[in-house]
Amino acid sequence: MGTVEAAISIRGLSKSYTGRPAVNGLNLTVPRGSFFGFLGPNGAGKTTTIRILMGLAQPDAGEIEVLGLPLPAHATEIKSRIGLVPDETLLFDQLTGGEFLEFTGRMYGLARSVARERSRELLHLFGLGEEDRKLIGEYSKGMRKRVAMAAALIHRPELFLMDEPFEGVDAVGARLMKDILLDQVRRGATIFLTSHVLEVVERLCDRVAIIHHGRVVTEASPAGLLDSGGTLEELFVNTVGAAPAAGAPGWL
Amino acid sequence: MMARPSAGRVVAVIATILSALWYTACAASAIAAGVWLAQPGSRPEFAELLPWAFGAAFVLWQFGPLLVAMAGASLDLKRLLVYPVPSSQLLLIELMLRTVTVAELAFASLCAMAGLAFNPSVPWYAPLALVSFVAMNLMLNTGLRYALMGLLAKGQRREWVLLLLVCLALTPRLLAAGGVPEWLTNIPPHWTPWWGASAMASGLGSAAAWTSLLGWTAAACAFGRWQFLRHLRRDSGGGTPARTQVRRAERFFNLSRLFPDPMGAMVEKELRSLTRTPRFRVVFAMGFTFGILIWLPTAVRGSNEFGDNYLTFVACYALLLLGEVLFWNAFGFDRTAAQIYYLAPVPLKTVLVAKNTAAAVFIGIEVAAVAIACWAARFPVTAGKLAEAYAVCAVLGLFLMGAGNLGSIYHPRPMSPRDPWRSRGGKFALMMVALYPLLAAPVGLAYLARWAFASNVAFALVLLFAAGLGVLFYRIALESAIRGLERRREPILAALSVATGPAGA
Repeated sequence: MGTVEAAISIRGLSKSYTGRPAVNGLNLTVPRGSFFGFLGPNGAGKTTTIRILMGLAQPDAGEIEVLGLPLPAHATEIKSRIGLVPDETLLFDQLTGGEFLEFTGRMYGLARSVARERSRELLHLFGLGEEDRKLIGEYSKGMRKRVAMAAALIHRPELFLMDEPFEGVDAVGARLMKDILLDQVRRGATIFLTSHVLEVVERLCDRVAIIHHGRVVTEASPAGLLDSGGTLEELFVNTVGAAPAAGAPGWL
Repeated sequence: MMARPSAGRVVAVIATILSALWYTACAASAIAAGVWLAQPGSRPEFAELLPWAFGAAFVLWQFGPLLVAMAGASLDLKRLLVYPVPSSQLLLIELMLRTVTVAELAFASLCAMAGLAFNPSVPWYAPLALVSFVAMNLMLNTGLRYALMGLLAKGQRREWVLLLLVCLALTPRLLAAGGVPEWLTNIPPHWTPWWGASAMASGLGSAAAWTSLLGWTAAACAFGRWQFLRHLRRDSGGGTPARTQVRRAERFFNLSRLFPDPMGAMVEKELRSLTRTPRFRVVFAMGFTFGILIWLPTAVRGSNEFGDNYLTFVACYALLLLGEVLFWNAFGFDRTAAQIYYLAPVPLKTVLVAKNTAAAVFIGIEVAAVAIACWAARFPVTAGKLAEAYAVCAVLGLFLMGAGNLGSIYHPRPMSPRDPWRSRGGKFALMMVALYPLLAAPVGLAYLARWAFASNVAFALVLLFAAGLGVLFYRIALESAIRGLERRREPILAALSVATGPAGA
């Protein structure tokens, strides 16, 4: 059962693909106003979980509440209150960055004039103001990620679901995105993100969960880890199992 | 009880049987030709026949692979440049691919060569003429293919070239209807690329034949190598319009203001995306260019009635051409980004209706463009004819959109925005083309009524009935499609996210 304070509450979530469990009885609570890091090795079930939360995949079993509302019963209301940055940048290649942002704003209920004004401001904020007549299909990977992030912000959501948001973004862009996200948390928004860059998670997140074989195996605060002398990387490697360095072929 | 085989399996079995029959027939014909060429007594006959056979082989060898390249269904060897493979070896791989693309001709050439080698009545160089002819064809085809790819590499130029090639493909039909022009029949035979080879293979090794064959082969080798190496050095071109065009069409996109958001936003997105999609633009332009030309011989030779209804007929044909890009795979150009429709707080019904609304706008413009083209070609275009074309296309459009919505849900596949004929849904598209007469049947009934009762009132009444039927069909199909969109979200998104793979640019 979810509580009023939980931005996301997941109980007994399961999802299989062709008989192989991707998520296996997952339980997770993400407090409101937190910067929550969701970590795990490749194939652990992170993306499946986030796709279920986004409504792109149907769970086989389990209960989910997002912002206090059960999913999928209140899917439309939940969608209007969350901002999404999926792992693949989902953008329409034949629109310009500004057109896509305006389109997104209008899809989320903003008036055309408001959406247009905000899209212009966001383009400038993300350093894409000079590219306002360029089609997204011509954008670099980093630019596409910036547009995706701007699209997630345009309707001022209460909860952000982000799958590898910094992947392919240059240092300047990543810094800008981190500052914006921290600012969003300060104003009360919740951020739920997955990332393979553990240093970033360690620096940004106030709560971290590690998923392995479709279940949450560890939940901790990075600050607490640092106090006890450990690092997030050590915790992660110890939890999911270290790669046997001795197993490398001799010629390598 | 036996399990029923899936439709895909049945299609695969039929395709395998047809392929086996085709290749068996080709192989048998090639072997028979080889045996015939080996007979000493057959020389006078094949000396007559070989120029025609070599001419036909040349045409097939050059145009078959070019059509494949135009469709974008070919391997791009530039991807192998990251490996330490010399460009000369890449050219060899290319030549092997060219050979395999028209394997029937390669095998026929091999059989013919063997036949000539065993024929004691032809000189030693006869089979070698075939080697040279095959090499010339392979290298010329390589050169033409890469020259064409170079022309197709840039945005707008690509679309013009494609349109021109499509219209040029009608040349045989137009020539058959209008007769071969005199200048074409007056071309000296020894200028043709196959004359030298056929003369040499028949044992008529004159200096002119040697010069023709070796000259064509050397020129083809130089041209093919030059174009291939040029392609390897060339950067991939973009297929996007220039900035000025993005600005110029703003008024057109404002049509979406007629609808409240989020419908308006969706319609605007569709109008913007489709007008900037090269594949859509080519097919759209084909409606009022290729569509006019292809039926021209029939209209000229046919009855007055066909000429009178030319506008409506070509407009309906243009809708058939638009099927793949406008109706039958509504999410194809969105590809992975179709996920946005599931992520946004917007009912899926709005998404489909907005896509259909944008399609209706393009149908309206297409009919107008066909009318202008018909007027330019001096076919009757009166206000009445125009109204009839719009009414018929509106009714037909309802049936096409209804069937298309179902097709988009139950057979989604990603579509390349650049290559006009590249599709993963070939069989499905063929099925929809086969369904077209059924979907057009209610409109056909209206024309039947006009013919049977010689009355425009009867035509209008039956067309009105067809419109009612169309609205009913559209609504039922829409509701079914929306349920399918909800229920099949994972397979739909998985199908639309399939990568384009190693083929094509």
